[in-house]
Amino acid sequence: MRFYCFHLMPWAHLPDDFAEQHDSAWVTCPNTLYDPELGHPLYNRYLDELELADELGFEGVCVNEHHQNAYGNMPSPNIMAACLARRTSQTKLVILGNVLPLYDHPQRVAEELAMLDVITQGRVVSGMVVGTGMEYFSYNVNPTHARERFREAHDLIIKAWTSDGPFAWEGKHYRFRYINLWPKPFQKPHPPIWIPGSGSRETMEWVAQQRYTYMVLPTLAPFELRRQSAEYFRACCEQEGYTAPHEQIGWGIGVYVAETDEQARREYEPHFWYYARNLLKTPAPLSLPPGHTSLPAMLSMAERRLQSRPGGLSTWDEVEQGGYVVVGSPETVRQRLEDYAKQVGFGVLVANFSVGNVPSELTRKSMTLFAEQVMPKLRHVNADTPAAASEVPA
Amino acid sequence: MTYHETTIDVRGRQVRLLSGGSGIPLLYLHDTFTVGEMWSDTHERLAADYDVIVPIHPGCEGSDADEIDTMDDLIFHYLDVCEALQIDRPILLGTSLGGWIAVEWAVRYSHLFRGLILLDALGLRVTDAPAADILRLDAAQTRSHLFADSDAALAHQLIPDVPSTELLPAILKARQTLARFAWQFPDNPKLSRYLYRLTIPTLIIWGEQDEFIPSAHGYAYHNAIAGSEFVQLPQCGHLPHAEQPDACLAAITAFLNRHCL
Repeated sequence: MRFYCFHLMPWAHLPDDFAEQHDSAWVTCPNTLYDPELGHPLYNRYLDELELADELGFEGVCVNEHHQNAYGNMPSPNIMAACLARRTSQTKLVILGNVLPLYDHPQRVAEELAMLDVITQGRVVSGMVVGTGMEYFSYNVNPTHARERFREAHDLIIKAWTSDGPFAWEGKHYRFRYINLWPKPFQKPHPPIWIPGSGSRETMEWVAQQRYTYMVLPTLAPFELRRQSAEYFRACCEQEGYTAPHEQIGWGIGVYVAETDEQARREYEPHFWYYARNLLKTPAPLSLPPGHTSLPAMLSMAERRLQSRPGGLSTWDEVEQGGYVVVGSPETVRQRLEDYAKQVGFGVLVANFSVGNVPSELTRKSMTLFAEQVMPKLRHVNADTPAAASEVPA
Repeated sequence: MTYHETTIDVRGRQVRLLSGGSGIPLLYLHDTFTVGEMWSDTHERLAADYDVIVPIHPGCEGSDADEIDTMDDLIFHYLDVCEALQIDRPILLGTSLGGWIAVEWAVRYSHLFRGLILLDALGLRVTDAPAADILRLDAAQTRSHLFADSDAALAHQLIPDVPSTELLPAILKARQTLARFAWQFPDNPKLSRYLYRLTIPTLIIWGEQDEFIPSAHGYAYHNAIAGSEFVQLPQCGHLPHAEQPDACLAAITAFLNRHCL
């Protein structure tokens, strides 16, 4: 198994009565709640945590893209990757943006990722996402074009990375006479691509066709629902005529490790609820603008509406039993993750240590315990190649 | 109900069609909220005197969305529909999104129509009374924006909290259609400068309590269209033909009689 450290960089200073006073942490959440004086240490603390992941021997660190919200303060994941590029030496930089349909010039994405890839001598992993429904409100992009724009921008970027320029692009949403990438990416034919998803079948079918890595996002959904996504993805790969290696499936999950199970829960739980009750607060129309999710997906979502409702989570027992997050002593965390890995077959673990407003010292302790006591014991699980299995933490 | 329902092929595109009655053709361009009642009592009563034709918009239940992405695409589509059905100089009636399509069509080709009737039409940008971002709202908020009486059975029937399995696909498709043409800003900022081209008899009906497209938009249409008539309906929201069918029909009939249509 390979280990990646994921970060959302949440706003950690919402008032205690946020959930009573506001109906959304997104789009209309008043930015009077943002304070740059507090933002300065927060950003730098979060970046320090990702630098620590490099020191601890995580294979990669993940940044991502959300706009106008308290949930994740990285409107530009490329800027965060740039901050990390020269402060890390080994770790891969997994950019789980860019939200391609938001941009009228996909070549800007191609350029920035190529720049980062050249600067880091090929440490970039490129995510590509349709983005949440909320982003379409914030950027006034018509959501009924989201899927079309995503596919077309993807095709343009891949061609820009792999074809000699200049060439012309004549698509439905993008037209350019001159695409001519300077610089070109360091990795050949292009940086690896991960597509994060939260269960959209059409996305999984396409990712299987492209043979990209599918990453099951650490959304607050029960283990079983997320396991079914991975199972469907694997079936899609079989449909395409190949068996997905373990490392083609990434598994995002909130993780917290402390000395004992009791201590872990005591230290983590209040911060988990900050995340679940405040940061995830999103009116349904904002997350599901028309066309952003396909009609069949909307219909099947309506059918299983009651299976997964973060708003419905109210007790820690539900959180534990549903497998929403993995929290406990090093041994408990190892057992749970090994069990999940065997059930799901993922070969890439994408762990989110800094959920909600977990303080920095606890995040760093949890990451360190994980790297020292959990990682070495899980490395052999779902390892595809002897090389991957023999890697040791730095 | 005496209407019949067919699907016709228009240049390779499937178009679902409801129609009933006989007489002068009345082409009815529908809204995207009354999907549970595409042929209402108002249609039925209009069909007593007119040949009422309701083509379902591209992307709504039963009609292909195809490559219809812009208002120009829609107008070319409806020119094709009229040709296919051999509709000659109809009365053009549009409500909500349908009203916007009607007015954009009529400013370009007003000679094709005997008269124009707009009900709470989208389309204008009115800076001091902006349209609401209706697609951001939940069912309860939507009802209060669309209806004068948002607790009435009608409001809950048309905008249910949890749509029935049978109705859900039609509702989702109608929302997608609205989003495709009216995402965030349901208007054409340049439309007002072309309204002078409308020289046919024009009636503008507006619900006084429309909180989606405030009645200031109705006044703006009325002021910009020379000779137009304006009727504002009390106890009425965005959907006059559904919420105040009697008053709405009376206004339409009076207008049509006055112009011998």
